[in-house]
Amino acid sequence: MKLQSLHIQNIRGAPKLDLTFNGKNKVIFGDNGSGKSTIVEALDLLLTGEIRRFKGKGTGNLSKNRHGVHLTSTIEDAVVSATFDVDGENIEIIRKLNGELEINVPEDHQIYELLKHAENGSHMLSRKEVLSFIHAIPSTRSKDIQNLLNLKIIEDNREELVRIKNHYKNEKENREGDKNREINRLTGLLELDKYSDDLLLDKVNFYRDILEAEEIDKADSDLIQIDIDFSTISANIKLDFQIYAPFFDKLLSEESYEIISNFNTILESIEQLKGKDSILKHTNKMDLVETGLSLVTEDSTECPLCGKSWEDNLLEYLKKRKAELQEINKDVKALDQVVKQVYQKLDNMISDVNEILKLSKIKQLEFEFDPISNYNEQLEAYRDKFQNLENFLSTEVDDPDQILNQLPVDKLEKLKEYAAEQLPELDEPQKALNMLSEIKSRFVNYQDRQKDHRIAQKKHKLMKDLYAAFVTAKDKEFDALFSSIAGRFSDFYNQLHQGHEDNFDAELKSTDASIEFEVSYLDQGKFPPNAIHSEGHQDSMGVSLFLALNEYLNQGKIDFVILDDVVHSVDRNHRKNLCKLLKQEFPDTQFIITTHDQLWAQQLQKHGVITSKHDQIQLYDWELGSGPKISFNRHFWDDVDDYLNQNKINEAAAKLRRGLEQFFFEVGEQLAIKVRLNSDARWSLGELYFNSYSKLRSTLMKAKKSANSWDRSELEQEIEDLLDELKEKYTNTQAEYWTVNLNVHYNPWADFTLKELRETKEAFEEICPYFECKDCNSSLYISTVEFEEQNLRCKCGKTNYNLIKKPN
Amino acid sequence: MTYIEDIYESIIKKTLNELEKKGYESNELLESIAEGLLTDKFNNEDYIKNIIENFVQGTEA
Repeated sequence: MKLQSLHIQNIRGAPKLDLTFNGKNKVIFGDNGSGKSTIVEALDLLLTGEIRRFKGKGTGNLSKNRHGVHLTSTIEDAVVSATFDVDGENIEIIRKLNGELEINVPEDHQIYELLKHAENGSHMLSRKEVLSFIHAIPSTRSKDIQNLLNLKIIEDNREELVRIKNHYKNEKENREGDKNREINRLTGLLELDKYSDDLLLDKVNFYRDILEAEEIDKADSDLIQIDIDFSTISANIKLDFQIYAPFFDKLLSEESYEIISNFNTILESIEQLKGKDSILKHTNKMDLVETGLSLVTEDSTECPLCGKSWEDNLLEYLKKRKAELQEINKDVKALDQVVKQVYQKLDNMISDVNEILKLSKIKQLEFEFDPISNYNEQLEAYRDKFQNLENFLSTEVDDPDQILNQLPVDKLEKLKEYAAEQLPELDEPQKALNMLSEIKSRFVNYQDRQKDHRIAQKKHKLMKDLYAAFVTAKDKEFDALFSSIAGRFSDFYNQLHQGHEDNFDAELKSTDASIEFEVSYLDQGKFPPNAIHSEGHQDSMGVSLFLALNEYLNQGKIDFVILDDVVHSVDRNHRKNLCKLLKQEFPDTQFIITTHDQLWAQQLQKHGVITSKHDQIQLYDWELGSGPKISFNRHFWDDVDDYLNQNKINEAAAKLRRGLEQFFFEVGEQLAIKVRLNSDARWSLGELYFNSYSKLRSTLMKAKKSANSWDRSELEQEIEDLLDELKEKYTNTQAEYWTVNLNVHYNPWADFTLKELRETKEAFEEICPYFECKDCNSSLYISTVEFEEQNLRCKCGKTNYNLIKKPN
Repeated sequence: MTYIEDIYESIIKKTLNELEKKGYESNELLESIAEGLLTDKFNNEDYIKNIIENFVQGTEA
């Protein structure tokens, strides 16, 4: 699938734009704001129906439909269309800004599958993605890479499983709470400290004995009232005070005050563990140490986090630290248990109060229940602070004695006395029958809640096992996938950084929701990609990782890749290696490369990624009404002229200097001149220009001597004339050179006139052609054999001066 | 078969193997999970809950 032509109408910065690609690689360059992004975004829209700029983090107030349309147009008129070559067949794809797609081919045509494939976005890399691959935290990187790999559905599954696992965990804890509450209701009624079947049977048989029924030997709800004659006893459980009495006794006993001693234990533990904050940070510390352990080796001499040097054995230290933290972990877990115990005790108290509050439903009891129910609400709020350790540590928690002291003891005592008086006197058989009925009812409830809890435990366990199985399976699969990508990533990176990091290799590892990514550095171990390497190396890594992913994903389906300003921090030599890589590893892929750097555009041509100057598309002079102007072979002289005609002196001088820098860098490289870098690691135009001129001049003089030795007087004269012209042109430029000197920015512009700058431009415009072939416009270069200069020539061969003298 | 389908099928097989290793031998459970994984149903909370509930209810019966 290769791009043949593109038509943009009313999208972003282009009211109308037509470009021809013919399936070839193209570089689109231009200054900032010249319209490059419009082309990239239009292609993005065409292939995916979306524009990335308006998606993702920080784009909440942006929308494709509102902000993707050209400012002077409406969404209805915003459309991008393109013709693609799909296996020799030209297919036109039309996409409206609203995402609507129009393709005039049958529904089963492969183009639909290709467009579906394109939705993962693996055809496009921008600087934003480079940064996100390299700088992202593992979980974010995981999402980005999984999106690109079209594996989002697997991550969606995992997230869904986590949600359901948490649902069942909560359900299990809630059912456990329900069960404990029923145990409390049952043991409270039976006045037992704890529940057991034997203790229950003792109580049941005690009441059965009063009713002259036989003893039973099994805790079974169906047996509790078996063989009891109901015909002679009438009873009403609700009006039986003995059902309520044990809960008054429990609440008014010292038992409730055990919470205070538990609370003191909690406070002591917190003190021993150096405070609430320290415990809250404990988990993070453990995570940090474990991450540290995965990053350092026996030989590590510096901290992977802060980069400071470490004299002792860092690995040993981290192991020791982990052991210490594991010890603390035991204490933290013990503390968690005590907090849960307090929660349970408070929950039991609330349940006890609720048992008593059932009296409020009895009509004949006229009593002010509000203080008791208000206290229960207060108790519930206090209990919730003990729900888990994190909750307890994150909130202010009053001492329990403050809460317990507010227990409305007088009210409870009065109510107990009042209810005992008001409720009817019952004889012993009546009481025994009521008790057996209530025991049976509560025992049934307890068994039901116990069953619910058991089922909830099973569900939670199954869900936990299913999640663990899924994650283990996913990690195994992803690790295999990533290891194949990591291999290609390392290959590509090694090609980009030949000679510097020959043994570079990378590791991508799937862990639960994250993707860990580490790269080697000069045999010093593995580090996160943004830890040690320079910004330029990180850019190379981003590009390498993208290309590895792209290769894996596309498998020849979409041989079309957009590289949007991705070599921002990569230097010239490594860019050259990238050119080689693109040519060698992706010979069948069509690259659309955008840049603001004309030098990179020229490099792409020089190293054969694009084959002619016509494959350089320059955008310039963007205006709202007309969009960008396009030139397929525009020279920087035209740009300078444009600025001069508009009286933009600063822009014209800057463009002229930058253009000359690029021109003479290219010339200097062809003539193999040596240029010193200045303190900013840049070369100065003055040095580039002077050395290029000197080298051309000395080479022409060598050619003249050679011509003389071969008795080629006409050629000797031609070169003599050329040397004279060259000298004159050089002298002219020297007179005007100050205007484009790098330091000119620091001079007052008032000293500088339009006329002077135009004269400078003309002087350089006259000398530059002497460094190029008049026919093919390629820079002159010196061919060598075994380090001996042979010819001064051009690519087409029409300029060709022999440099070897006739042997004597 | 696309690479994503390959990966997905492999994850399904491995998930079922892992569950079998943990002692889950119910064909019905494993088939339901496999079916869920093979379709968008696995991204549906109710579907997964249904699998879990049915299996646990089965063990209680």
